[in-house]
Amino acid sequence: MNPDRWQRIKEVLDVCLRLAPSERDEYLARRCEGDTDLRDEVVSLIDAYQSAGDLLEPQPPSPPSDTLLGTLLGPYKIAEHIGDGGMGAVYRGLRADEVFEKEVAVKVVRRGLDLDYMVRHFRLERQIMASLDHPNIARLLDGGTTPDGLPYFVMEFIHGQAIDAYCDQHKLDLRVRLALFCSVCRAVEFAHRLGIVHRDIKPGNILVTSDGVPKLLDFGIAKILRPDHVPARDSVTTVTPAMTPEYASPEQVRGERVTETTDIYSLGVLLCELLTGRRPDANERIKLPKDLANIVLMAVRPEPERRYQSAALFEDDIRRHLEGLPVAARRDSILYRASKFLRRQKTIALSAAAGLAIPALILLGLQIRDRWMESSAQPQIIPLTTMQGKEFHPAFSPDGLRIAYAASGETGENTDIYVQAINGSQVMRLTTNPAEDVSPAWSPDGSRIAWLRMGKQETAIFVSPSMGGVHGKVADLFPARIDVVGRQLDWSPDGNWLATSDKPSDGQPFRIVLIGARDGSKHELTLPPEKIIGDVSPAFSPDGKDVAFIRAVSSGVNDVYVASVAGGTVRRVTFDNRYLLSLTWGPGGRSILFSSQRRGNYALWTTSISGGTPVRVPMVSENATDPAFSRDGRKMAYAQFFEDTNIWRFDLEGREQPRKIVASTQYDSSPQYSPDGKRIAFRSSRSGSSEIWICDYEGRSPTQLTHFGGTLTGTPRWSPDGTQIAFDSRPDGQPDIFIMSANGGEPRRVTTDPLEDVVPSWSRDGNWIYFASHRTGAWQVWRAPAASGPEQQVTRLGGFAAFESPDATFLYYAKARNEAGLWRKRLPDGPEEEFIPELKAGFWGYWAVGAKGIYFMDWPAPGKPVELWLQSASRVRIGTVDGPPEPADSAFALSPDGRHVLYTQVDHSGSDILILDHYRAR
Amino acid sequence: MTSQHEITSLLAEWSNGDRHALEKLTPFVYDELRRLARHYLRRERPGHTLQSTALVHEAYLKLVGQRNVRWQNRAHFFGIAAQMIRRILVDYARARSAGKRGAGQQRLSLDDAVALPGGPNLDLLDLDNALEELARIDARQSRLVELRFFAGLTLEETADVLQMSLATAKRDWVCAKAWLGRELQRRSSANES
Repeated sequence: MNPDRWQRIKEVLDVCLRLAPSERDEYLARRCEGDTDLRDEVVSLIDAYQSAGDLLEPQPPSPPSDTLLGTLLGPYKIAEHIGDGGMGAVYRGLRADEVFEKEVAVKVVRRGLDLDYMVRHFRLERQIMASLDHPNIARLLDGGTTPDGLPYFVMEFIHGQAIDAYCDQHKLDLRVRLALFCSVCRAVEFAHRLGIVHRDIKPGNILVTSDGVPKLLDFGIAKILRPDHVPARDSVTTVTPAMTPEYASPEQVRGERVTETTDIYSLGVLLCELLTGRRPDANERIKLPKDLANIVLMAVRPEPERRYQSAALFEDDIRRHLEGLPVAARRDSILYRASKFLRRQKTIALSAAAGLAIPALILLGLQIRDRWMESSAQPQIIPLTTMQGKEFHPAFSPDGLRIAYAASGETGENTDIYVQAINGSQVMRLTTNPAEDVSPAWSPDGSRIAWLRMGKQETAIFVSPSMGGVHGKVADLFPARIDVVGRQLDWSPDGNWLATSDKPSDGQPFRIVLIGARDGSKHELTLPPEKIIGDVSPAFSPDGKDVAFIRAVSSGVNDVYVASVAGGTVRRVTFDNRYLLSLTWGPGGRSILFSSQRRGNYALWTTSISGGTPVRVPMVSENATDPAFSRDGRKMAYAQFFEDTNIWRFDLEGREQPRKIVASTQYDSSPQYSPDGKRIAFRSSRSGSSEIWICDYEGRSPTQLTHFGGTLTGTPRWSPDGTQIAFDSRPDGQPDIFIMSANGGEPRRVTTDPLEDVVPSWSRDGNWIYFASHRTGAWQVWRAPAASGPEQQVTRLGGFAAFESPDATFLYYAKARNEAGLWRKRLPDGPEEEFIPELKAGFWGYWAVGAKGIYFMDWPAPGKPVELWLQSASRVRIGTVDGPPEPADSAFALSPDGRHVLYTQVDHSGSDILILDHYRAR
Repeated sequence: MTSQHEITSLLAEWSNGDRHALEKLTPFVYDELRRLARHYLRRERPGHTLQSTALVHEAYLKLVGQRNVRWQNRAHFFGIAAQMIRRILVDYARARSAGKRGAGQQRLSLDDAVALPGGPNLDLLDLDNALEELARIDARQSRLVELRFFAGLTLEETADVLQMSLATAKRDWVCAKAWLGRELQRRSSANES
């Protein structure tokens, strides 16, 4: 075929393909008269074209995430890919459970978004969104990260149709459309009252079920995808707006602050589209009855403050229209602009004329406004701090206008005291000392602030004027405070005393002491039983007659007590035996609020001091701590923390970069390889409380082994034959060692001493279980026969976290949780020698003994990389990892083949201070 | 490594008619595409497919970025990339069929890993030969198919790159499809017999 011939064929072919089949023959006959070759050629090409279908047609790229199909994300099996959105792929998932099978929608965020930021904020948001329980809102059920590190959200699966398509397909009339829209408004109003803005309302996010019930999807997710404050990051990843331009308000498009009225705008666009089939256009009149057009126009005004101020008001206006009543919406006319202008002129004229009278008027106006606000005010949560790092220990000034708190700064290297106005962003830094300054407390007249300074050498109470100035030391305290967490200082209402936790010497429990605010004199208020951690976190009752505090029997076994300041009685208020972080008195002094793991994760609970069952503080999400009230009891400040701790793998042969192996948005730590290297046991709080889990060596198919539900359960250790796992737990408040089959079943209690028995490990022959016990009043290594029999003390000079060497000739151990150095003694009962003096204090869980020697981790300083070392005849630095480590746990494991180590790393952590305004005491 | 800015200005010069710009540009684009293709093929997992169009797209983002680039440049970039990705894919396909004839070992093959728009039944080597033949009778049409098929350009973009009207591009596309459809059918029955 030559080019000219092809051109001719093409012409004929082109025409034929555009003709109806019935007309082709005639055209061909006419056009190809005398040229049957041409005719045959064209006919054969028409045939070829018709059978070609979409041959060679470019298709949109399919998502590369098909690898998820059939896999498990948490408990959800990914069954089907059902669509793609701006945010990523959507799957149908099934929760397979013993009891029932539940259908869910799983949204996997696509690459390219700011994943780090999302993961970090995901937990915080999820807690808030979990409170969104409304018949017209699809529930967010769960979330996490895929094995590839992509965040995913699990939502209620809605069988339905987008609201616009639903209206059109069912040919709904105007009134029904309006009624449907009113349901949507009510759902939006509900969420707004909880302080949650949708940010991406559009028809595709509102599905109507076959019963005609509208359901809003993705509530709050947009916030995770595109938070208000996008941190400045290197510009490699551009944050893709999680909004849909056609429905986004002008302020949203400009990237300004998003409020409830942003959703009102999107609702206005949606209403217009549902009623007219088109979105509102400034250059076009809306073809609707006048009132309805005005309603739409009011909702989509460019100035947020001139729209409906709530979804309820929006709905109300529609109802008025439906009932034939006059609506509130007015046309935005020249009159409006003119009156606005006039008002401005008038105010200026008035101020000039009335001079001093104006402030009084304004004040009066403000008071009236305040009272009105109060009567109609809903409780709401307002963030006070949003800095990077941790902000905690909030304390209201007596006038309620300022909050003092401790903050770690962005890199967490220096914790200091700050003072901030509650309705502004003015922040004053009160201290700059390199020591850790925490637990600020105001003097009752507001003139001074006292705080705890914890330095390398000393721990002491300091005081300074609350506006800043000279710092003075009030009293020295016992320095080693490793087991003491939460706020540790309160000022008595009469101004005479500072309450804190202190002890006279090591080996004794902490007690609550009252320190004279003027002379620094010390008076012990409580005398707890020996050998326990002690009494901590004191708080004066509003009348100053009592002090509430936490009695810590051991880590994770705490309860609330009250002591009378006059002396004498100490009463126990709670009976939970769980982790408690901090407490405060409720307004009125009849209740105590505390942060506890009494049901799952940390949350705020309130209990009456006369007894009774504690009740969860409403609206405040999980991981809240450090509650504090303003003196009038209307505002409660608290710290909201998040921590994402994951298990990473380091390749000792350098074949791969350090890689996250076991990850969830919750706490994952304490890994250990099974003896065959195929499985990993670890501790995780992904079920809501700390339990033992098992996954394969790549972190896949995690399954929960223990089900204690609530108490701290950790430090899993495989028996040498791989059939059993030893661990520690505290089901009844008594920390002991347990053993259970690695395949599940009933745990068996091995130790029964009332004091702490923790951190087990097996002898290489499998006959003994070593553990650390505090039963003598100091940490020592003990061992118990794995079968049964009496326990034996192994160390005399201190010992914690023991492991036998692979050839069972040496026992290696640290001294105590807060002591430096790794020691060893020859088995069965040789003298002990210090083996690695440099093992950092607190790093008792960051070493492992293998055939080549001891691997251990060192962290020169916060902000520096974490170093991995091998100590044998000499010491070799193997490499570095990012850190920071999680030194409060056993967090290190060597694979049996000696090729990998696992270690725990805190990938994200921080805390912010929030204020719950209009708190209502129950 | 050349900066995004440099590549962007080379694209601009080239679309303004500077042929040297194309010569300077080509190696960068080719290297990037090859690197991406290798990368994808190496870390392949079962069930994971790579689309040639997605690959070109990724190369574009990598080399040019998304910002401050005129649309025309984007189309021109895809114009060169289409040619290259065709060459890369065909090379892989050749290597694969050579491997099949040889030791018969399982190689990481092209169609295992790369999903072409035409689906699994399309023989890439046949298509390559057919396109060459089409180029002999209608070079512009052959180029058009290349742009659409290998780089995933829309008809509008294709029309822009080839400087023709949209109507002409549509007409050429339909006719090329008919011609190639027939040609591929012939070749595939010839292969079987």
